[in-house]
Amino acid sequence: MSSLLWQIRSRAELAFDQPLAWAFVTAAVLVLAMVVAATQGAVGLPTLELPSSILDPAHPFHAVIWNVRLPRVACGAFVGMNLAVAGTLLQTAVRNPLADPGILGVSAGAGVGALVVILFFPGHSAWIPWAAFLGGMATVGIIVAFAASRARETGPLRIVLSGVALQAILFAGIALLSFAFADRAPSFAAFMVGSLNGLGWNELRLLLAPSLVGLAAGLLAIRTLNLLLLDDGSASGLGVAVARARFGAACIAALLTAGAVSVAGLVGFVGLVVPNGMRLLVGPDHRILLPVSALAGAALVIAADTVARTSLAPLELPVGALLSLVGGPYFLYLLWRKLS
Amino acid sequence: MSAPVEEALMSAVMRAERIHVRHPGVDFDSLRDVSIEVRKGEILALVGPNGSGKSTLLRTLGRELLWRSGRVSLGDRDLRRVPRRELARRMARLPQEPQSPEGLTVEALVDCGRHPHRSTFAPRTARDRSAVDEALEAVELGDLRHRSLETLSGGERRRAWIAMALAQEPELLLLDEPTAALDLRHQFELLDLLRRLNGEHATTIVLSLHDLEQAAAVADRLAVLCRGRLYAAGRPEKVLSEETLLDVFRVRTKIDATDEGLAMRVLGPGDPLRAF
Repeated sequence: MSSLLWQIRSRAELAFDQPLAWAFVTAAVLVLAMVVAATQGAVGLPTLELPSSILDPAHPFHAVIWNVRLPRVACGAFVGMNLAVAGTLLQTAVRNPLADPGILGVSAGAGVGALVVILFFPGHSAWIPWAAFLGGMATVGIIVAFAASRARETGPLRIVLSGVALQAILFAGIALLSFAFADRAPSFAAFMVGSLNGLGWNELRLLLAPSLVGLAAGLLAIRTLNLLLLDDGSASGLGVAVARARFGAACIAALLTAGAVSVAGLVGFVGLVVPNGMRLLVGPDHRILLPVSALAGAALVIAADTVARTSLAPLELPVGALLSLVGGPYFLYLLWRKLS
Repeated sequence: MSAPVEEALMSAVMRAERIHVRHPGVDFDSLRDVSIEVRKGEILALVGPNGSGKSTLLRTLGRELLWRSGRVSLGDRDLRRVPRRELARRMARLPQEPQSPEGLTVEALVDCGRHPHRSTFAPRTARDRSAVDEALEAVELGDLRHRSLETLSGGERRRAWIAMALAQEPELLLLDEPTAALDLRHQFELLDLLRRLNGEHATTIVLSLHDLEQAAAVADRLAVLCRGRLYAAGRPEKVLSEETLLDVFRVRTKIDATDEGLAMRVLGPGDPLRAF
């Protein structure tokens, strides 16, 4: 009997050695997070009634589930996927595990772009993600110039400091725009910290195009990303245009970040925590790291948002505050480990 | 067939003509007026003291460094004109200390070598798979294919990188000090592997080596570099003389040709006969 149990256990351990098993685990966690997020809240719904509440318009909770919870869960999923994949891409592009759209200032750049459309072209909300993309790209240009400059290695401190400097400038821009046009601007506090409050199907529509394009481009780039894991000499010896490939990866990251920022503001640390955590589980091979990070990012944002809106109900906390609470210390830990 | 006729028949795969090479950010040439040819199917070893320009010459032949004047050609084309991917299909190069991230498996690394042979989005073909398998088999790492690189010993890791270069199926292999940091047995096995590759696949190999006796044993020809210039090139027994060692390495030696190769005994430091 005990030998049978032992056998089952060692089989299970063997399965968990296979990175593919982690893909199934993260997918299962994501589904669980989605179900919990859809059923929990001011109106509680028995889990088994979830399908009928979605499909049956006569169900008493249909309006709440269909109009409020589902689009919010879907937005959370894309925001999490986008930021986690963007973080993975940036970490590979600048060859530094501390890279993240927030820390490098890509989110802030995208935020400035989004605000410009929100404030000055109020009738053209469809432009928001693309303006955010331009803002993010401007930041990416500066980062890549930094990463590719003379220094043979882009040290962790160097990349963080350049991010801090860029962010200070961009945050000032966001603050100026928000306060100068306080009557039209979205809530400054919510935008700066990132929040999914009040997101509906319209926002999901806004988010969909940049997310799908960015995620597809990320998947197509997997093989090149793996070659970028090698040193520059080896990668170029295998026929990779290294500088162009890095810039391309950062561009995809900017597009994904732009999608997330356009609807949720500057949600931080997802792009740092998720890829670093998943790399520990499945290793650096992007064929598995990228999909697993996308799933885990979605699960993390949805779960954090559910906690944020239910823990102090009826008060809805911004999800970004909660994520920063977890991500900040993790960032310090990574920095400390890198520097010591 | 006498040696000169045989040599004349071997065509050059690569040729450097009077090149001057300078590293970025310094104000002197690391290679001065060097002319050398790499012949089809040979093993050419670059030897010389530290800082003599061995690595610089290898990196120039691999197009990692560009020459300021002179000409480097691959076949009959200017090396600079060869498209990146085509170059990667024809030539594999292995730096002295290649960097790889934690957690990358041996197989994933070797698979990277197939990159130049397929378009970026094409799926892996049976040919890719068999090339990876063959490369792993050649370096005897088949059993460790799913292990990650940092769990391997130095010798195994070096062999994993060589397997990646083999998966490229190049006609030309450039290796910078492949035996550095390996113990004697692994050094021997690695040189043996290179000899086999050269014999079975007619892969042309250019490598830099520190150990002169090893270089003499493995190479068809030696190129002796000294302070950025080519001192001599030719068959080991011709090039490696007591005079060369005094001039280039500044040591007095006693060299005997034995059945097992050249036997070299260092007697002590000495002054060059002629300045070079």
